[in-house]
Amino acid sequence: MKEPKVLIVDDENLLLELLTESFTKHEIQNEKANCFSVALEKLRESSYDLVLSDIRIKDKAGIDILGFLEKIETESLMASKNIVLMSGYSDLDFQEVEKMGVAEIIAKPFMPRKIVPKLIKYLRHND
Amino acid sequence: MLSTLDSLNVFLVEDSPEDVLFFKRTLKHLREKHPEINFEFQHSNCLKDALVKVANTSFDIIFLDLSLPDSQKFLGLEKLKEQLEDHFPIVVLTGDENDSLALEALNRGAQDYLKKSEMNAYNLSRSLMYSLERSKAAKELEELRVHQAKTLKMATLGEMSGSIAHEINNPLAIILGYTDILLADIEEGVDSDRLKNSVEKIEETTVRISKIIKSLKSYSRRSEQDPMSQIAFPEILEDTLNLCIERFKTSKIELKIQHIEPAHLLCRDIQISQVLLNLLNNAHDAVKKNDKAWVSIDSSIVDDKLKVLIQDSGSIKDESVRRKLFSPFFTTKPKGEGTGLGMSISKSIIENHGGSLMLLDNSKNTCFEISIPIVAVSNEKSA
Ligand SMILES: Nc1ncnc2c1ncn2[C@@H]1O[C@H](COP(=O)(O)OP(=O)(O)OP(=O)(O)O)[C@@H](O)[C@H]1O
Repeated sequence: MKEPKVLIVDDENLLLELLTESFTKHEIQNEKANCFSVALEKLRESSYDLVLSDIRIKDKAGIDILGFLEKIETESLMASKNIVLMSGYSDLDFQEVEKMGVAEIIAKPFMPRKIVPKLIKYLRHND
Repeated sequence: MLSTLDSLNVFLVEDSPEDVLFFKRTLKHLREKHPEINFEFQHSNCLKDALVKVANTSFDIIFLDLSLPDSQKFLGLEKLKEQLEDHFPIVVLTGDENDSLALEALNRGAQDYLKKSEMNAYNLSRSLMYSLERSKAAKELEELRVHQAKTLKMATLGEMSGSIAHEINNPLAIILGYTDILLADIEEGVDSDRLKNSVEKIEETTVRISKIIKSLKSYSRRSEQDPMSQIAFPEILEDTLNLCIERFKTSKIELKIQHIEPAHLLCRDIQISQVLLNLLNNAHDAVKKNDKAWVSIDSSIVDDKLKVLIQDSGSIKDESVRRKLFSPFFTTKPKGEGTGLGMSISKSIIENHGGSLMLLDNSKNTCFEISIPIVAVSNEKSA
């Protein structure tokens, strides 16, 4: 059986490292991207079972979260709909975002110890 | 209209005894016409005494003779205005021959004028009413303006609170994350190097949050209450340059100081210095990696305003950067390095001083223009 794999997207490098470490500790394969464009490249190259991404990211190509989700949808980059968003605050309408096929939005700050095991459940569900 | 009042404290500043007598008599007629109003009356025969009385009594209206033993022309008007709130009704009394003097007094903030030869109960009550109404209207307008400014501030605050939450929750997420790791590591008995790393990250990130909060303070501080002082622009600039000249030297950026106007500003000098410093530092950061980099400061006076140009050898081509530069939290610097608050704070400081700050469109190089009202220097040795 294929190992589940997580893609973490955030422009805070320290946070990326932290989350990577947490997933690795739970022996979950993971990759990181520091903007939406890089994340899309990774998604095109290989398949992931969960995308964990911040809502508000400074992107080198100017893509925002809605553009990111739209690309995932139109290019069918995620077979499962396991997309979880992180938000420190957003002026976006959460319902609008959720309509775009997002599984959950979690609020920053959070404790990785509590959140990561919850996220891993998404991976199990899919098996 | 006078009848909407129930008391009126009238102050006359006049040195000629006949004119005082005549004024009193006119006031008496007015009393008879309006028994419902309780008229109070006081009088001074020189400016010195008038200033003392004004400091100790709250008058509703002042009638001021333009020629007093210790004050000619507009000195009395100016001195009284200094002690009174804006738009306080002062009516100047003039002799017959002095129409132009009277008009000039209006320009200088008198609410009305009354010719002594035309003084009668009708004209006095007309002038009283007119001045009180004008003063009230001006005050209301002022209040409206203050209120609007406040509402505007609240709106920007509302807009900003979202960005603030984002800016602060991100580093908080990092701190919470590392304390999390720290706890787990301590439970597992991990070596101290790893513990140290977590603690360092927490420290670093806390400093980052405190930097954001510090910048925000300049927004929220009720700086309207700080005293304004009159200070020469070259002094402010010198203080500012002292703070950044080393940085320019180290980065080998030529600092070109062009013409510096010896103009005086009525300002909160620390704030103006903060703006100059921010513009200079931004210019520094923008060109520090370029060859033959320079930053220049120039100034000139245009229509009672000091214009300060801060230019650098770079240029901002990206249209979206030009557009967003003044927005709070907009920065092109790496995470944690710039708060992106400098320009928006600078803009609000200059606007609070009645000026403007903008990025010039028609300049080859990046050029910011500060425009700020100047004050006439009172101790200038002129006639
Ligand atoms: N002289 C300049 N040349 C080019 N870009 C500039 C210049 N001044 C400002 N900018 C742009 O405007 C952005 C916002 O500037 P601002 O002073 O508000 O924040 P910052 O400099 O990024 O952060 P901080 O104020 O904390 O130093 C900068 O990141 C930069 O992209």
